[in-house]
Amino acid sequence: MIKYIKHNIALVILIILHLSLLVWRLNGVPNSHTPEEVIWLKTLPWVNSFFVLRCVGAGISTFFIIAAYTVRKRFEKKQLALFIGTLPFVFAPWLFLLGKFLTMQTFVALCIVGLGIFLTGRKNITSITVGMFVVAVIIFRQLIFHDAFQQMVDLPQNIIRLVDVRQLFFIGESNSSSLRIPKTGYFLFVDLFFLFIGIISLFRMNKNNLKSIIFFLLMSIGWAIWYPLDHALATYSQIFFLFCVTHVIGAGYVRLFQDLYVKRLFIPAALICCVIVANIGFYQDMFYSHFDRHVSHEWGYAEETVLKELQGKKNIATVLVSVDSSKILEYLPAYRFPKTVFLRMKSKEITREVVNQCRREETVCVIKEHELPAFGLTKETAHTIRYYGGLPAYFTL
Amino acid sequence: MLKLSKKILISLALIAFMGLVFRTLWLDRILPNPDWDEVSTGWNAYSIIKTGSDEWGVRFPLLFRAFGDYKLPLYIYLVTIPIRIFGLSIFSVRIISALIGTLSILFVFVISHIIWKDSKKSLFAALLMAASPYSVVYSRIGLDMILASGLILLAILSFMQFVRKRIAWLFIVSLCALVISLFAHNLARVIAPLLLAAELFIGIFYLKKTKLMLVAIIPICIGLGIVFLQFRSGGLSRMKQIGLFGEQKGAVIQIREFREDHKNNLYSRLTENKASFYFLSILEQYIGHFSPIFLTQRNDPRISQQGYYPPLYTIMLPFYFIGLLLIARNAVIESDKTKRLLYLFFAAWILVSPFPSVITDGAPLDRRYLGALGTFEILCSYGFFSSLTLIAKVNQRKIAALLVGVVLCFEIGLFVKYYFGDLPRVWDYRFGFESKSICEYLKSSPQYRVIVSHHLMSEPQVFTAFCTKFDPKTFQETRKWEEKENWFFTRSYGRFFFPDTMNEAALDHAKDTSIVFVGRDEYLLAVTYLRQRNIRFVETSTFPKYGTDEEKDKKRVTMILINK
Repeated sequence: MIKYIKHNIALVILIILHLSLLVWRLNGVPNSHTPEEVIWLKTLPWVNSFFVLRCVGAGISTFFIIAAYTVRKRFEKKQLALFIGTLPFVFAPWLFLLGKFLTMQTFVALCIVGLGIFLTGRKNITSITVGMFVVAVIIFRQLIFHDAFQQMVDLPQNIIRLVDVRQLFFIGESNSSSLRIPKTGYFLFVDLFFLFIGIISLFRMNKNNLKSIIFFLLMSIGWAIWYPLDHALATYSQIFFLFCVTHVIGAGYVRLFQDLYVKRLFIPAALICCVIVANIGFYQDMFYSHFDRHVSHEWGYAEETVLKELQGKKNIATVLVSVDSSKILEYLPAYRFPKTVFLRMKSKEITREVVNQCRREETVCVIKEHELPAFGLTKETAHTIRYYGGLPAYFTL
Repeated sequence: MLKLSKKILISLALIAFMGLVFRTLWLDRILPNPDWDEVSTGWNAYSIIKTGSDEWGVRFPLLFRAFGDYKLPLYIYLVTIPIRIFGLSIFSVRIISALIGTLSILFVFVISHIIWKDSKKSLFAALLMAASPYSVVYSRIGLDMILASGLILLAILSFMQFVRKRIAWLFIVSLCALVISLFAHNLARVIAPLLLAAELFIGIFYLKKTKLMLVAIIPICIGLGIVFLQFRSGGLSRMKQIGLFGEQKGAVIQIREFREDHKNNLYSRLTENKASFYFLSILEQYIGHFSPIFLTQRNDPRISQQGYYPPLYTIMLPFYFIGLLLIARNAVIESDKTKRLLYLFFAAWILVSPFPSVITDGAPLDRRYLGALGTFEILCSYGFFSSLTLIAKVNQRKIAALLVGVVLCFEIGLFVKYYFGDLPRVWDYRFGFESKSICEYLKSSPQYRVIVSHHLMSEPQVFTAFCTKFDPKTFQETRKWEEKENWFFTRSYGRFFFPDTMNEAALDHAKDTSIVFVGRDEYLLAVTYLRQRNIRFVETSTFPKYGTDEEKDKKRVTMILINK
């Protein structure tokens, strides 16, 4: 074991770095949870708190580092080169964000990456390997999706979207804003520079390695093109692709720092390191200081606040939740309400009966802003529960 | 001079002819309804012909105030020629643009030929330019950007030939083209100084033509001096509206938001400031110009003044990037000094062309990126032929070329079908339907008093003046106007009145027999007012030919003939 650690000291350091980055304020930011996390909290018997749950997420994220290290080890033997080449994974915003909460999409993506690594690890990439992969993709697609024709039509546009550097480095998850760190893409801004160096360095590799890498990239694209890039983290599809791009960026890191070392250009190297650190600091600040304020409405902050408030109230027999507010019910399993019954209103329309029911002392109603007039109330007169960003979310009566 | 075989010349002529057809076919009908800038350009040119002054009565201005957007003069003065020949019409306004767009095909051929001395590459680049959606779309609009683009192409061509032949007059031509382009379109005001700097740098440090370069500084100073004076006297107003910088712009609003999250502490002031956010915005917008999405995806057809079609055909995208990489490589490792300079200058052109768009809000925007027109085609052609050389067997190479050719033809076909078939229908009811309807009424109606609100259509005064060929002198003398936030709203001229909205005060302008034009929103108010006062009126409505019933109703224009 000690011998293994000695031979893979770079991996150990990388894992420690990645975990320490993730564990810091693990349950603090994001300051609320996803409905999926609530389900896992109730499903996994050995998980008794959200913190433990998120540790699982961080653990899965760490396996990507191991996977990346395994791939890189095929091309690099030196520990320092391995360390530098895998370093972009440790700081990659996409992987950092995935490690901050638990979603099984990450696990699925990890399995896909694992399959990719297994297939490309074979000594000869034969037609059987390619065939295996194609069959796996088709079976998986058939199991999950049915509108295959539309997906074929969307294919060319998706391919173009996939390689869109603006989306990759500046915009990120544009369609699922819940997984978007403000002013950050899937990668650091400086990684764009390293990506170009990485691409150039790929062409200088020997034929076998290049073949393996190209196959690996093609596999990732094969998984990725079925969805537009603006869904990369919300679905598992493009995580493999992001994994590959990070690899190319890693190759860029190794290439540049090797060149600078050979030419004894230590000052430029130090300056580049400073820029990288500044970029990491920038996005970390964006995450810890601004993420919740900007996307709390997409997470469960308001819903959990409602439930916490209701937990504090005694003598509530019934909580009536309007149809538009029913997201709250998805969080219910995470909170204990032994004596209270939660009911969803039968129709979207607020009836007179509902209004009368809400007037009873032992009943609390949770409604949205547009439903207030039916109760003869205004925003100012009703008790407001706000999103973390400050906008009103729910009103309790 | 270029030495070309007969075969090449004929091919080039055919390509240029095809480009000319693409650019001039049904020029007055497609796109159907001219936008206010085109009409304003035509109206000012007409005004110059008739009175020697612009619509505001300023004699031969170097900056046309127009609506407050301060149009640059060159295109307007050029448009006076076709207006004098063919009369005031939208064809006259557009033809100059179409001709310059056609000329650009030849410029692209020559530039490509100067760099590679390869007729095939150059012909393919010319072909791509002839069918370029960007070039075709903007050559068919009677505005000045294609003129600026054409002048930039001319400047680049002349300078590249100067680098090859070292003949001084070629440099002078390049210099003049760049200085003149400063008065063509605002995009040239960003690109031209940067290209001039690149030319001077190459001239002084590589070609050792210091004396010639120093002589060149005189016209540069004159040109830039005039531009500077224009900026001081209102020429920056457009930049204030569309620019990236300003207290009410996205980046500054974001900074405020982010600082609030940090309670405006020292850290936030150090990191979340204009320098960092502008830098990021500019970087993002700059990269956006090379993003495959921007290069190949269509714009929303509901946004007017956009090309709708992207600069590249999708099949050409990989070749564009291959060309880009090869140019970058050649600019560094090319051993022949002259060739390396050509590559360097070409690279400089590619690098500076996004800047006019980058410094504005919402970039990348195609009409501000027209300075790059020509680079796309040359790069695609270079990338395409370089990729073909990777295929060892001649037969396979031919098959690959044929396949690409077939897909390209298919894409060109799709573009032609869309631009000449589908878009005019969509355009007809989405843009300018109101102005078209009003013009049609006015052409056949007697000289009644006319009331059109700014709510129904923007800048109604130029449309009414343009289509009735109103006397510019009377227009200048009788015009009443109001200024709001550097924008000039015309309230009336001659028998025409233009209130903000069609309210009671506006309807009081109707005397004796008058025509009031109202849209769906204003119809009820106008009719109720007239009925309450027992004023006799007759109404006629027009609807767009295409669109859903709801869309047609939304765009309804009603002419109310009042007899008090």
